[in-house]
Amino acid sequence: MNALLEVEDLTIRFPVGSRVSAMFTGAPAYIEAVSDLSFSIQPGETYALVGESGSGKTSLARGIVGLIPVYSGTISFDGQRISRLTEKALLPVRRDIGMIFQDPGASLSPRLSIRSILAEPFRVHGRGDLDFDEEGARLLDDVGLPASFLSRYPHQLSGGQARRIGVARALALQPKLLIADEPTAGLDVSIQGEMLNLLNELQARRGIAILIITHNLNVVRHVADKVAVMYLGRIVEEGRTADVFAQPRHRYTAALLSANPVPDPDAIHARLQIEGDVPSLFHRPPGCEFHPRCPFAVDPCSKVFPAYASIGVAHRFACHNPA
Amino acid sequence: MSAPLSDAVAATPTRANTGRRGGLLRLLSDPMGALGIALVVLVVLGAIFAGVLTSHNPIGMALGERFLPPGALHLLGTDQLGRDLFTRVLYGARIALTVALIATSISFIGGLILGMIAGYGPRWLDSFLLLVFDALRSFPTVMLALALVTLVGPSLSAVVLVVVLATLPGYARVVRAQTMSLKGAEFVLAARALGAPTRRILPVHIMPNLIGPLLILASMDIPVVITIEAGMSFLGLGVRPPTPSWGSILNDGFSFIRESAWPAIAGGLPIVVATLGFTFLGETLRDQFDPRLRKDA
Amino acid sequence: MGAGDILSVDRLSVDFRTADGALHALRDVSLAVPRAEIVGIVGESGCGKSTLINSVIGLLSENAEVSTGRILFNGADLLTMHSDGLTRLRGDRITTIFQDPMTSLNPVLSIGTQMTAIQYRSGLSRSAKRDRAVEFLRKVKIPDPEKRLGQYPHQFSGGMRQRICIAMALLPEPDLLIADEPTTALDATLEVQVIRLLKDLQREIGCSILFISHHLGVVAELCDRVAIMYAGEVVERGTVREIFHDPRHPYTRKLLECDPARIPVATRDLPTIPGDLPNLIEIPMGCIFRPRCPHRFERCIERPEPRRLSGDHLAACHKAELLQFA
Repeated sequence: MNALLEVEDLTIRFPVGSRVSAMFTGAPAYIEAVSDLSFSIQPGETYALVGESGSGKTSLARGIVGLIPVYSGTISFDGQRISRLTEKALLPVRRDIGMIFQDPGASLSPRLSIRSILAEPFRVHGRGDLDFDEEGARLLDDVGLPASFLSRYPHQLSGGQARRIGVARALALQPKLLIADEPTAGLDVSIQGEMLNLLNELQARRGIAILIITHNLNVVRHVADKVAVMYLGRIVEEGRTADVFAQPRHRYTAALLSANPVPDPDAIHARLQIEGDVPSLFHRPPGCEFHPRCPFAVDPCSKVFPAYASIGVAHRFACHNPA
Repeated sequence: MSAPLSDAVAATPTRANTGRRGGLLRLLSDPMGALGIALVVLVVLGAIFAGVLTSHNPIGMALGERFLPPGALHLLGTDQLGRDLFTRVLYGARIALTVALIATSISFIGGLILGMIAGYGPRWLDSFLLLVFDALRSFPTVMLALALVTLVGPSLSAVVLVVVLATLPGYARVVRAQTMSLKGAEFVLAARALGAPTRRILPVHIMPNLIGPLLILASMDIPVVITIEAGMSFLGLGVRPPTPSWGSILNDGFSFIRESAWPAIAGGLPIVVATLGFTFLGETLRDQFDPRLRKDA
Repeated sequence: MGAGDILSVDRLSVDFRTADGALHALRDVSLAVPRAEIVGIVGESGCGKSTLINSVIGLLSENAEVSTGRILFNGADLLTMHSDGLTRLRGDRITTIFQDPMTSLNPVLSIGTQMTAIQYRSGLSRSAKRDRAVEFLRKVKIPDPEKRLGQYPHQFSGGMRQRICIAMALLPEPDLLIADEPTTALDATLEVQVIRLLKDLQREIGCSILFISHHLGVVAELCDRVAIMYAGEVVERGTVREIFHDPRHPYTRKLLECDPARIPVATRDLPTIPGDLPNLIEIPMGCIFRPRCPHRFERCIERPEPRRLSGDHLAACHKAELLQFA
């Protein structure tokens, strides 16, 4: 089957400071948020990108939808290259990719009514002629909200309600791919399930592929078919969720999995404790970026980034001294 | 993520309190706001109904009646040419308000457009526009007035031009700053992710968030505009005599103050009243706007 | 409420005056923090945990009104205490760390200045204060502490800033440390660092900690006792084992059920608690959890008093005794 989304050797850089002063001081004129990254998503699949702050996962998501420029590499959607296209050429593609943002309240235009917010995708894509009361009510119904919400304004919504409006808007044009940036961040545990069940249901009903970006491993375990672990702009391990959780090979994946406090006071914490903080992108460690914090680092780790090794079905990782 | 309390409040049925009706009532409940509105209304009504309120001719001379003190026939007395001061003040209000309205509107719209372009557009355009704004602002208003009037001659249009050049950069800078911060806002990103082009994002998403603060800025600017007009007329750079303008009345009063104090008072008093009125109004508007915004956040 | 408690909240009720009427944010809340123990408060948005903390440290907003109750710290009622007395306690006997490490520190003062400034009551010399600051930075595992004293908050990462806040809160060796969601904004690997730090330092200093969080895993690992709050009430409290292994209030049980970390088999149909938070202005009659409770029955129209199930285990549910192994 042809991949729905294909990302190849993607690099995203952000310019920093002035290029002129960089010439004199030798300081980097850019930081690399995403480095030589490749992955693909099949139609109807749920794919999770897991990483902590500084991993580059949000930059990656924004690069995919064309919100930030891509330095090198290609992104293909449904067989068509979409990286480095003009805004105009990108427009039809945007109908097929819906995006849900991390802060639900902030992603809704504060001075527009919910009706206008939900009408936006239609208006942008030339369907401004529709009856938005009807369309809006239908979209709200899909996410379990009553039609009366159409006349409300974003500041009148609770966090959970705003989140659902965000989902409704992303689904308005029946996209093939939904990108969800931290869909459960800040949500109470008792209603996290609602959001995840909703996403699952949408997938089952409409065959949408979902790219979930999160740092919450528990969510990933229940919702994703495949998972990729990111560290400082690179994928360090990728595979089917069950495989990666059962047998993490990269030391960072193992640490991340063990850094998950279990809600059981008698649980034994055989923890792979890593010290220190994520290094700044201004001072990228050479070789494998994780080596300064890795208790299992060996000599090659500080010299060269490891090549990807594979085990089993579609399970790859980049580690000189794997578990 | 909404604060715990606001979640609880959100669970209770909300009363839509963002209506303009509510706003007007709130304005009137604040004594400063009420006073501001009263004074402004006074000035506006005076300007509109000048013809009805007095029967005197604002420019008709009556040399036999110079420097009369206030009385039944002349509420503020007469000036050095026997003209009724009260009438001249009312007609002067028309000048003041016309300039205020026209000049402020042009500055508002011009500042809005240029500020949005500067804030949202490419950096080189922003740098260029900033240069223009800062250059304009570095001119002392009086020098600007002198220079322009030398070019185009004293007239109402000259006053409007000076006011626009003096105030537009202020609006533009505020709009620019707001636009720049809104540019990175998540709801703008969401609109871009949908495919909305810049020509849609600016009016639909960014502009509505600018109008409120800008209106407040405008209402606080009007006293400044009135003062500029009066100042220019005082210096003889504004409307030409015999057209009454508060500034020229004040100037005449200043020249003839030994003969009678009333022309000076007649010229200065309306400036004070109008300035105070608009200032109070503007400050109350601003106070109403901010805490409400904070509570809603 | 034993004499061994450093903090004892006794039937506290707090209302907020709003445009729509009085909002009953806390109703009849009681809990105890014994000396040298870590007590966790677990609750979701709207449960009132922030209001509770603000009541203890005296930071309630202007429209708040304590209608009944006492807050005893070392036997003295904080609510009736003179403001001088309260000020003396705050920052010395009771310290706090907040959720957002970015805004808790003054951005224009160096870390060293801030850490020595808070020692103004100690009577130590300036160099002694500096040494103590360095000592505590070392305790929270900030590398090169002497050099970093002169740096400013923006030169530290988020995780480091939170550790600095912890160091500052423990410097005066308080009796009670109140931690309001200190790990919520941190990534998982940083979170476990902070938990271990708190555990080690608490043992070393011997203070009590009141730890607020909605993250069940962290609470299970760190706390000795737990109180569960829902919509302004404490619905259950007990030792950490009692709460996690033998929960007796339906809300506690549902909460544990919903935590994805406790669900052993990967599922596409995660449990949730359907319904919404109740209206806190017009409190419905009876048990506050009744509209969403799967175990409700006729008696629930009557508000349940907390029932003692064992020494320290209380649950406010008419069916508390029956909800075993269900």
